[in-house]
Amino acid sequence: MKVAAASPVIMIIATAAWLSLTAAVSAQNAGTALAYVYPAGGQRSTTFRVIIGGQRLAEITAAHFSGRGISAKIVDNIQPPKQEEVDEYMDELRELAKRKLATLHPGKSDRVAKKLNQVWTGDDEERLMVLAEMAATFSRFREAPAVAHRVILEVTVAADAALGRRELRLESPLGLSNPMIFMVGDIPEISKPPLSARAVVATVGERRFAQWRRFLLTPEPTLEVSLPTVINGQIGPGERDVVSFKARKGQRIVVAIIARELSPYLADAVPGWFDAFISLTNADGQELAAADSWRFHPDPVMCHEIPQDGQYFLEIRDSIYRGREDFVYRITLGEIPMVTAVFPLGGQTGTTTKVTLRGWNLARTSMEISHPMTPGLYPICKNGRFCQSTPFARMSVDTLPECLENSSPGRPRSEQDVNPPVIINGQILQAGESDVYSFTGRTGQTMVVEVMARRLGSPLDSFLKITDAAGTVLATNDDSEDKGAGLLTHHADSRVSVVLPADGLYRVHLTDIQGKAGDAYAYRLRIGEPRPDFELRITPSVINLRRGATMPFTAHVIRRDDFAGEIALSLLHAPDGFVLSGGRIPPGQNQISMTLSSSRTSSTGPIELQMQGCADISGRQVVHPAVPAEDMMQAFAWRFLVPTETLTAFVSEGKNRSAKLASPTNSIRIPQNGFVMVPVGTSFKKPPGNITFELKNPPKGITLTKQFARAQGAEIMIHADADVRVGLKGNLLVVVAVERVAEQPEEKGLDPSTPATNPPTAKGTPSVAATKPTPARPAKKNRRESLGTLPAIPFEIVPASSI
Amino acid sequence: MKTRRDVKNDGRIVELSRRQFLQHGLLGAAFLMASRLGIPPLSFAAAPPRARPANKARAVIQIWMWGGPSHLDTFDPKPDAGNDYTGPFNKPIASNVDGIRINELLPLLSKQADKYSIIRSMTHGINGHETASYIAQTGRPAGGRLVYPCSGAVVSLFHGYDAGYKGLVPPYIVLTELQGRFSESGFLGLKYKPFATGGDPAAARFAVEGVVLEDISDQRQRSRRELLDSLNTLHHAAKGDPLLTASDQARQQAYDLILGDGGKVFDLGQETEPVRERYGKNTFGQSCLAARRLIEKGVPYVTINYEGWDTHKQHFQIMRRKLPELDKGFSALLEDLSDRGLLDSTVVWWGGEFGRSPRVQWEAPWNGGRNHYGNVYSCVLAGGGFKGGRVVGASDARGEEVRERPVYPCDLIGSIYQQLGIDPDGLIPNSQGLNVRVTPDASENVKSGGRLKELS
Repeated sequence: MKVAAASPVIMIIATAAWLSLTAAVSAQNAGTALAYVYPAGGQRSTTFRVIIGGQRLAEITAAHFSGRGISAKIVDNIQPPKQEEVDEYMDELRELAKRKLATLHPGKSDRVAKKLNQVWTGDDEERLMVLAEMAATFSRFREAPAVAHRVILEVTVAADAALGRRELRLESPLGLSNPMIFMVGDIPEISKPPLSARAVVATVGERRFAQWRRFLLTPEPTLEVSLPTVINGQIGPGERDVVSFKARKGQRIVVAIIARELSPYLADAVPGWFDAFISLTNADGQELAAADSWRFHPDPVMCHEIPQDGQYFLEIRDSIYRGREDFVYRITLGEIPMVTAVFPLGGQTGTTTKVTLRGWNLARTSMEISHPMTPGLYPICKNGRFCQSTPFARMSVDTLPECLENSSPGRPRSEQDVNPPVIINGQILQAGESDVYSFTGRTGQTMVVEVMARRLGSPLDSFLKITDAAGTVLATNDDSEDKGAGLLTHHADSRVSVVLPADGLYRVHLTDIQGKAGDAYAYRLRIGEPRPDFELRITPSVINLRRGATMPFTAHVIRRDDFAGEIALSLLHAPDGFVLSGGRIPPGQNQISMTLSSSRTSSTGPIELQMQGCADISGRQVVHPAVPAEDMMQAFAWRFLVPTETLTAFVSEGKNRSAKLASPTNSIRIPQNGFVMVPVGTSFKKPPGNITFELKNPPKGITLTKQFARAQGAEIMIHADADVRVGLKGNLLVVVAVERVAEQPEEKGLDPSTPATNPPTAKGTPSVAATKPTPARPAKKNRRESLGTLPAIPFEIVPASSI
Repeated sequence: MKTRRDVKNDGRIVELSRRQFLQHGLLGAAFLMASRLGIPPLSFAAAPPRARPANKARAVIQIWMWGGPSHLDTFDPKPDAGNDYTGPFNKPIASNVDGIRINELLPLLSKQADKYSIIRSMTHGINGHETASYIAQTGRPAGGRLVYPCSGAVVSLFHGYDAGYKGLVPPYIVLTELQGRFSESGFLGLKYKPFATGGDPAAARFAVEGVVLEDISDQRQRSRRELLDSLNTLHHAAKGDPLLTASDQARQQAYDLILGDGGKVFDLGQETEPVRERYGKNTFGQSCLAARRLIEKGVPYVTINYEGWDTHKQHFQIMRRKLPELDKGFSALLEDLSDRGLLDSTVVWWGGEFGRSPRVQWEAPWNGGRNHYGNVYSCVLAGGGFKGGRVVGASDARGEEVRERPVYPCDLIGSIYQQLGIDPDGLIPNSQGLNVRVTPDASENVKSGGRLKELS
């Protein structure tokens, strides 16, 4: 049953009201932006249609899925209806709406209709809906362009396609889009009809209708499904989707939703994701279970043992009745395996760990996991099913020696001696339990105590306290932010760093600050001296650039255990002609812009890139891969780095430009309260106009003050104010633009005596305008066009006296 | 049954039936009348507030730009900052004051620049609506032990019934909706909350909640009152009881407000059509007109809550629609107040909770939007003894930082109080024994750039 919020009459009124607005679509100068994929996945060995919603999709040429076994072809690209097309049909739409009202709800003023014995036919209804959808689509294109454009794909998932999560991007001549998540499963799927534009417009188009929308529900036939299944749907404003299924007594049914996981962060919504709510009712309408989350995950999971044979109903909606095209969900429903607890949550590199599993419908409750030699975070299993229903469940692999805590359920234990550096695998099994570990330390020794739990999928909300032998509290911590945990919004893992005041015994106390407990409340506790280290993220995860052009991107550093050193970023196995400029991340900096350049002979299309960062840490060369990510915003303000699978450069043919842009590769030295002249190369076969240079987002106090034309380009004057700190390092990005001088129209019609040349009106009389002189056409404005970005210029601020 | 919104003292919004709403309207009016008659109010009996005698202003019209207007696209244009900052608005227009340029869609206001001054260096650094609204209107940051009253409530305290205000119309009026999630009166309590008119001044009949009913004629109201009186057995039985007599008087005055001259202040039909047209036949324009009428009646504080400035998406399209509306209403208000000799005694304060991010967000889903921005923003002050034709402070070349003369909300509010003869350094009388200053001093660790001596 789709409980729709749209009364056709209300919907039409709303649509008409929207059409009266005259806002124009804004200037578009950014790339293709995808907002949703519906359905957001499919079953192996099936072919089905997929809608991709987003913006600037008019020139899409192909779809790319990560991994193997998925192919797609574009079958439609839905363009916005033109104003005149909509205008042409609006009268018919209004007339139909009026007639429907008069026929179905005759009032005093509609006696004529009654007398004529008008009827409302199925054809009338169909026509009304077609016209209303067209008008509503037009409205959505203007009012919500970010979700309104649609491309339809026909997607085929091969029988041997790997299960689990993939990334989908669309290709246009200018490059690749942002990635969207697409799931591959192995159980049957069913998709509800896509959300119509008219359903959205009907409820969000006019504020005055909003209060009524829940009372204008029009039941649709309930969708009946067989278990197990995956149900795909989209939630419109105020909508509740309901499916029914038959189940037998004793069946252990799992309902696992992924919605927030598909679109982790919505920039323009609060909360910043589709906040799904589900409830299960029996045939009598009695609610048996409901969930709006699963532990700390916004996506709810429900496990319910069926009490008796019968028909059951599952409802899903947004927790505060929002809805939009990008509120997409997948429900996995049936006796599917669901892991609810894992212990331990990791192991030492190169070893094998026996892992205990708890959950529903599990074929086994333990498994042996062999850990790789490289430390990191790894999924618990890769068969797709577990991963689908246990988001974030990961194993941490580390080089340090490990131990298990000495406890078992129901048997309180005293404190446990440990010998740092060590990682202790433990659980908070009893409410209010405090796990205590003691170690011996030295005067002046710095010890780091860090919990790894929430980041591995554990619901533990840890709290750490460090005491000395006398019980004096040296340090406490509740939450410690980890910018590397891109999908977490509550950084519940604790971390403290403490300098020990004396030789002696110290204790680490670990509790759940919410007083909760259970076998899922597992943790890994590291006690040891600092291990300075770093992680890298690169945003965006796709760098679109023309042949021979340069494009900026951002490198983000997540510094661990107070590592503050310099990091050198480099390209690995890059195709010929690709150059990374400004690749040094100065000490202490966490974010810097760099550039990637392609050569004029680079092959076009997508090219997978690898980057790595290298740093000297205590005399050791430490190398880490740079992880591609998307810089995502939620709720208008908060930003997150969400990792993606691949870092891709997409080289396009682009316009045939003749500019060659070059900049110094060595660091320039800018005197404090002074300037430096920087030669830049800009050669053109044919100079297009006045060339200008502009610094893009320079550090405060650094400006480009002048430019001078030179034979092979120009010199730009870079100035640093007196308050710019000596020693500041970074990269300067210089944007090159050309101002094209517009040809001005001839000055015609300024003389009032000049006879008008306007054509007569249809009635043969001169138009009003024809009696007036033709006004002068407005002068055309000069056009400023970007020619590109120079390769990043590294700089350092030096004392004025040193130059 | 029709429902209407009411905001509880704790900020909760509840739905009222029409019957409940009528009761509330009458009770509220009776409450206000009771306070005028010396009947002890429910909250506390305040000691007579101390106000400086030499006030230049006697009233305030606060145009609250709800949502936070862009400073770059109104009174602090940066035409040389580049397209990523200006968007399409890169041709500011000169005003009738040398050196002052404002957005090109404000031509009428450009001709009134001699009447107002622009503060281009407002700052508080807060980017959340609720917390920024709080500091912008109370002068203090949110989150402390006390919830402070906003300027409207403070003015109501010092210039309202406690200070001899005799008007039938409550001393603190909001046109038309309360801001919600914002306690106007703070610890001062219910007595100092504003009276929100509801309704739409641009409608054929401005249905002021509790005063002018949309679908009940004055005659019908009178009939209802007579019926109620005839059924009031307690009143008949206890005739002469002093409390009931006072209550009766209060009720009588409430009806005077509703059915007598008091309510007529909201009847914009008494204005000529050219005057109504001059202000703009829209909610904002007619709110400005209603504000002028209220000020004429002696109301000391009127807030116009002007919605629609939270332009995250498609900002420039919205600006093209709203700036002409603002231009017409605001300029007509200034000119009209001036023509009627009211501007000298009426402070007109224009501003919102913050500005908007100078750098345009061109990307999806914003498509040319501007985000919240509390680092620097603009306010406008006119009348009430403030000098016009001035610019106070400056933002940097892109409107991202304060370049000179930071002005914090407490500086602005304190300056308005000064013009009204309210001592910003004095205490707020209260029944709780709190030693609370009208504006914060150094001991409260609230940032200040100093009051606006430049304009007084």
